[in-house]
Amino acid sequence: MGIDRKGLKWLYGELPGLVAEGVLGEDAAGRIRKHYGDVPKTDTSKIALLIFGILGALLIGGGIILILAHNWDALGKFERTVLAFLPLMAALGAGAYSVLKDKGTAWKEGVGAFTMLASGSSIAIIGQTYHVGGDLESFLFTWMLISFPLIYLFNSTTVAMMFMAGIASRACALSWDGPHIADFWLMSLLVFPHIFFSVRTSRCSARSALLLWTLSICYTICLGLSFESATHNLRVLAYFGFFALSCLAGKVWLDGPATIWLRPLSFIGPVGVIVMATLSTYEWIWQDYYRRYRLLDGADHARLLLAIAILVVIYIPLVWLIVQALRKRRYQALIFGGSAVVAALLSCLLANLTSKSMLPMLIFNFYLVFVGVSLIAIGVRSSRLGRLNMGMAVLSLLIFLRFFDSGLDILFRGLTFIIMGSCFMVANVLMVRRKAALKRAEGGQTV
Amino acid sequence: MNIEFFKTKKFMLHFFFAVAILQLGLPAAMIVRYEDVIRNGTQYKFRTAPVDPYDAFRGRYVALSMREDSVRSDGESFNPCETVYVVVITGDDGFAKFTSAHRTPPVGKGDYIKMKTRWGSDSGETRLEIPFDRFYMNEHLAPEAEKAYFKASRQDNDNTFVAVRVKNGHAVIENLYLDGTPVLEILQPTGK
Repeated sequence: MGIDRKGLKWLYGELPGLVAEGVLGEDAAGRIRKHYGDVPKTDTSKIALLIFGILGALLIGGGIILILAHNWDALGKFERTVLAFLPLMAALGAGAYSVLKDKGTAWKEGVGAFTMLASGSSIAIIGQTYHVGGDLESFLFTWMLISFPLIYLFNSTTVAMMFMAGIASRACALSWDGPHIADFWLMSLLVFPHIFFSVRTSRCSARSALLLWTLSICYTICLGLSFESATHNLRVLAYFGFFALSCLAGKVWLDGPATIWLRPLSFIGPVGVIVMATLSTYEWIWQDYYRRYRLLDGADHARLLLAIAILVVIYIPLVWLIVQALRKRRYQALIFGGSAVVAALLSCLLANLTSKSMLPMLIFNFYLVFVGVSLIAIGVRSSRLGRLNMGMAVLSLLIFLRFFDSGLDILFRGLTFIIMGSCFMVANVLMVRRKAALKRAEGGQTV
Repeated sequence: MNIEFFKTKKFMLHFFFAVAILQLGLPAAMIVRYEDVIRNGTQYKFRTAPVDPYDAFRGRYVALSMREDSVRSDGESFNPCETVYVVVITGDDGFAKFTSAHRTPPVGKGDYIKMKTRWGSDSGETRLEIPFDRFYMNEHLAPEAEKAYFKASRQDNDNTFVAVRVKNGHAVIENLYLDGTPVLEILQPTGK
């Protein structure tokens, strides 16, 4: 239906006024109410139950792990084996009950989290009993692999988030062991159906937001790990592509009338693009680039293949989304998404052809000016103070950074700061006045 | 078959049983495999030098650093982190020795252990990531074990080793010996 609780509440609040002013007839207002139905109630006690259910399960599970970590030397192998299976049996018993009785979300989330911790502790205690060496990464691999079905069995977002954190931790532990990071990307696909159904049910719900926040953070970290020094240049392209993809997917697919915290992609995408663009105005990024780019000398095949596969997976949907954004006229997303990718591709090409870092650095300085000015223009045109200030912030950041690495006179720097600050204030005052004038004019028209 | 089928209680129950079998079956399979190695594997003694870090997930353990941690791999060079099958024999001194490393399980060459390489060197020596590198103990006993080890080593004693059982590429630690005596026996008077 595409309208959330907040929007519906606002609409129903407006209806009596619209009816009184004769904009809508009583029956039309009735039909609207009938079409959208009642405002869904947020039951705070239900949410509290959910949060405490999950917290309780995590605390009990964590406590069990600590107790098992004690390593009971006094116990024989058989007793220890029983100890390993006991929490898992209890968790599965609770799981069977929740499936049979079709219990609610709080119960399932809690049981899911508890079962996941119990299965981890059972593997750990058996490893301990037999002194199985091995490392955190192989332990995490086994644990995550047997835990992922719990996401779907209990439809549990907590398990999905723990799973993503688990596979990302494993990737961090393995970062020196290149090809195995490919496992992270494959394993992360296992959460996708859960995310897809959650987003399909409600694009801007807390559940979808939590999943997308976790996924985006894990991907941001593991993207960096998937490239090595010999494929460093491709890493720059991958990061730009990933953040651009987030911007565009956030605007084209997952846009909605909700706060930015409920639309993680629309937050992470633009912030990531700005951070990457800012980093790209420094020489070291490009120095590394042309020094190491020469036909990827020293890159081992597995790493190179992984890097190329990641780029293909990012760039194919990205191109499609750029076309969609152009069709839907999502210009702001295109400023952050589309143009950043063009700037990145151009810079990589130039860095490779000229073996100099000057041109790419210049391109990204201009890019940031372009983003700042565009946002200010959008802000002014649509009378949105937030956009205007965001544009000013981008420009200020650029000026601020350039001042630190250029040999300009202190007096000159000081003056520019004062001028920039004044522009900030004047633009804000003008915008507030303009908004007030618009409001007055609208008021005059209706009277 | 529509998506509603996957939400029915019948399907969910089947799904639950499959998940339960997986969750219980994997630890059970681990036990069966390790028990098989312990009961039917050949025993080897590896000389060690223990230290004592902390692993939040698995309690305290004595970290073991094997003296035998490389293999000569003449003619064959291995990449770091490559899986190899290393043939193990008992040397003249009664302790285990690695004789050769292979990319596939060696047939007819006796016992072998599956492990990963750390790095290779020009001299044809490949360093190995020994898969049995921990001896788990009660968190109060592990530091005691470390002290006992240092005491034993100060007395110029070269008889500190782990007994490891090996079968079909798998290796499982049987016991840690300080000065030829199982560590728990040494620690009993000072332990709990």
